[in-house]
Amino acid sequence: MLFNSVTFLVLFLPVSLLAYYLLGHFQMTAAKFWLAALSFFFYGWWNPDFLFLLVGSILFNYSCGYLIQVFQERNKASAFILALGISANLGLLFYYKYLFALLNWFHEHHFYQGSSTGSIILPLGISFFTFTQIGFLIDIQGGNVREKGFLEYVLFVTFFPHLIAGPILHHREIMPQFAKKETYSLNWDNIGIGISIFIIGLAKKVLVADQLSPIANDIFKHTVEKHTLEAWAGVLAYSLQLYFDFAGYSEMALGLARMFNVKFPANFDSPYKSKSIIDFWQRWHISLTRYLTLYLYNPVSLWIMRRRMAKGLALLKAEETTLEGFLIMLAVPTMYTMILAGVWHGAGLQFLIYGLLHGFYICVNHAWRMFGPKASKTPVSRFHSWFDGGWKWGLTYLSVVISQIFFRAKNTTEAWQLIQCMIGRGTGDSVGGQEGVIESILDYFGAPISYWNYTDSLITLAVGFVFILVLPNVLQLFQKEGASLTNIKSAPAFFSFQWRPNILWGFLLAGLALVTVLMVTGNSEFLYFRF
Amino acid sequence: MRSFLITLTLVFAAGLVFVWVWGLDNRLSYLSRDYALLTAKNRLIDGYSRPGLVIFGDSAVMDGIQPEKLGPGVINCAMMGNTPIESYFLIRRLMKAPVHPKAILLSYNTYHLVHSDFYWENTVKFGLISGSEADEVFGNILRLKDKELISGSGLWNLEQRVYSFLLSRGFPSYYVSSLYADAPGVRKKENEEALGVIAQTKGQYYFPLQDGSKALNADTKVKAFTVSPVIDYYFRKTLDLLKTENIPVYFYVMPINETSVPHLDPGVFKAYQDYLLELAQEDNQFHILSKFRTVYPWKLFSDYAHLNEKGTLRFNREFAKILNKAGVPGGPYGAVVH
Repeated sequence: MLFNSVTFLVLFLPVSLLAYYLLGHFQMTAAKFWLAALSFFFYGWWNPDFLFLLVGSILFNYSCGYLIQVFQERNKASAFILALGISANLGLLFYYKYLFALLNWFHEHHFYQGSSTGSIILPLGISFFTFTQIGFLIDIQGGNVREKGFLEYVLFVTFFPHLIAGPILHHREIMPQFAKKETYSLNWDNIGIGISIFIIGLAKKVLVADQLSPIANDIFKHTVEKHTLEAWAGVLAYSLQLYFDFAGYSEMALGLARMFNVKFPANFDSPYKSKSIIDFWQRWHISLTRYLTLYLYNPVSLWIMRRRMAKGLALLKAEETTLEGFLIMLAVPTMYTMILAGVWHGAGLQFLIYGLLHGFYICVNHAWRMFGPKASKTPVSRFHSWFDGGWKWGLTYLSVVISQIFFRAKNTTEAWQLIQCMIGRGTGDSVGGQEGVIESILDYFGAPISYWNYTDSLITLAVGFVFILVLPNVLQLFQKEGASLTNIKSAPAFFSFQWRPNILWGFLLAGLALVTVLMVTGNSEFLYFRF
Repeated sequence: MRSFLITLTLVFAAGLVFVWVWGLDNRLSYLSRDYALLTAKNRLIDGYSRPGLVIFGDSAVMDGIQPEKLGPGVINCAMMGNTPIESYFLIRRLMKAPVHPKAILLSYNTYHLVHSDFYWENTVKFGLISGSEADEVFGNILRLKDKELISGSGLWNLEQRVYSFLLSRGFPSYYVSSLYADAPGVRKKENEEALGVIAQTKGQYYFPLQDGSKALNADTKVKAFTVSPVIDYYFRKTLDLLKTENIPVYFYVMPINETSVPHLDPGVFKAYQDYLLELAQEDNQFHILSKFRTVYPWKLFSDYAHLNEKGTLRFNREFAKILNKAGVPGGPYGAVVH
């Protein structure tokens, strides 16, 4: 079921909330059961067959966790169970996400003879619930898990606001919330805050992301024939669509959880305002970055450091770092982590390139910080500060946009064709295929292309950018109320204002909700559902 | 927080109710022309007072059969994409009119016995059938497991149940895109014109006229003739209803463009004929007027299926003769109308 479907909005959500608080008023366990049942129902709505997969995965992982604890004293046995658990989870992920794609690739490249291997339906949210549970197993082995109740565990994995597309939760921040009695008592403050955040997220998805989708889809459908300006507009449209789609989803999840008295960690913090790629990854899909850092980057990085320490080699200190030390201690774990992050999004060379690009960007960013010119400590003029911020922002955003072409394209050929179009080497015949950007813009004003409405698209893009760069995000808007578990203090927005539980905000959000609900079609999936 | 939540709830609820009620009351102002055609045909049915021949079918019939060329008691109730499902409910409505017709003529091409492409988009959305009728059809769709009208996926088909229920009750989210599809006032003007045309022609309505078309008929897409279970159910239900009312039913296949003929699957047409013959054998009041499909030159068509002015002129002359020859009650047909 989609958060932006009429069924969810007019039936599922009101009924769920009402019954949850009614049951919670009498008995906490009943409310827990109801919430778990709701979450399974929510998951099974799309394809009931995959409910068995979800239930199986939960039972298997909980049992593994239990056994790891039983054998806690016997290191080898618990390590074996952990390895078994992780292998089984990764095996499941590999089967659904990569096996058929890999076999098809072998078949296409004649490594494998015989008929084509076909395809398989990817169960919704499999990457999310698998990763969540792997993290849980690793932490149990490390002795970092306190909450052990089965119902709390089921809710931690299945709680419907995060089940399909995150945020990727950490048991330590969620399971204790499900164990508390207050979670099941009606709290009007949380209802009000939750509804408000949800409305804003829904509006981002329905009123902005879905409106940008046709422009982006058109470009990515026919990557060869595009003119330079068209290609740029399409790629920027996709960039904004992805932003508003994911921001919308993350905020809806945040708001929904809050309506049930549960606080989620922040997952999205105006990433397109970033002035470096490191900053970008601290703002984009924050829960994934955290997961990757905790369970992929840190173990490898620590292992390398320990080995170097054992050999008496220097560690990462700015003034002592050599190129060799930088490459081994920072570039290797970064590239390894980002390649896996890329591949996590799906099978295909394009995702590998996406990961490689981001790994490379992060390494360059780190190298610049370590080996590049140091920032002056003397005060600089306003113009200098703006200019400095401007080029950093521009370079960061451009790098992100280039990587997003690979993220969206069906394959690397399509991505490459589109990049060719963007640098004026496309075969677009409308305004002249071999021209540069300036010529294209001039030609555009002189001879608009009949089949593609530039003006509308450019206005939509401009409005999107204004929203992103000028207005406060949800975390800033609800700073006083604490929109998320994580206390993020990003720089204030250009127009800074705060949400207040008063009549004016009631009117504003009711109007926004009305317009959004009226525009809901219910057939527009979230982009992150693909993963 | 209390004042915020009360304001939010009240303003949202009041706004939604206002848009919902306004939307239901002013459909002619913003819905597409198909809604106006439907409204006009409903008016024809509700005011039916001169017994004769009433025609039901798809858009080829709506465009091609001119009641004023056939006789005073003839009305054309065919509509875009109509299948026996829609015809059944229109006929049920007709049975409540001041007088009953002397005969009913049905006409659907092969495609519209296999596919029901406008059921959700026009029939339910435009209120051709009421909410309770939509519920009835949906029940039958589920019972007969008709994959043509239901995706078949999802838990207990709940998504589509809710969709059917809300769409048939005019839930505004499904209609809002029509509000800004054209500049304000454009649709209202077009729709009022369409109402006037239908009232004048007694149901005939041209598609945009062209001096010929070589486009292929939708029937060429049909590669296997398997009647949709729900369409079959309502076809038989229609025949049963008319048998109870003692009204004879005739079936005619509209002419096809000569350019489409080489692309038609002969097996499909044979199966289509067999299906109709089987119905005729089961019901002695059901008569098939066309033993074969008439082929017209491409010059007589405006598009893939619809006749142009020259085409309708020729067709109605020939059709009147066919009706007279078969002794269809309500004739003679083709005489000058007074």
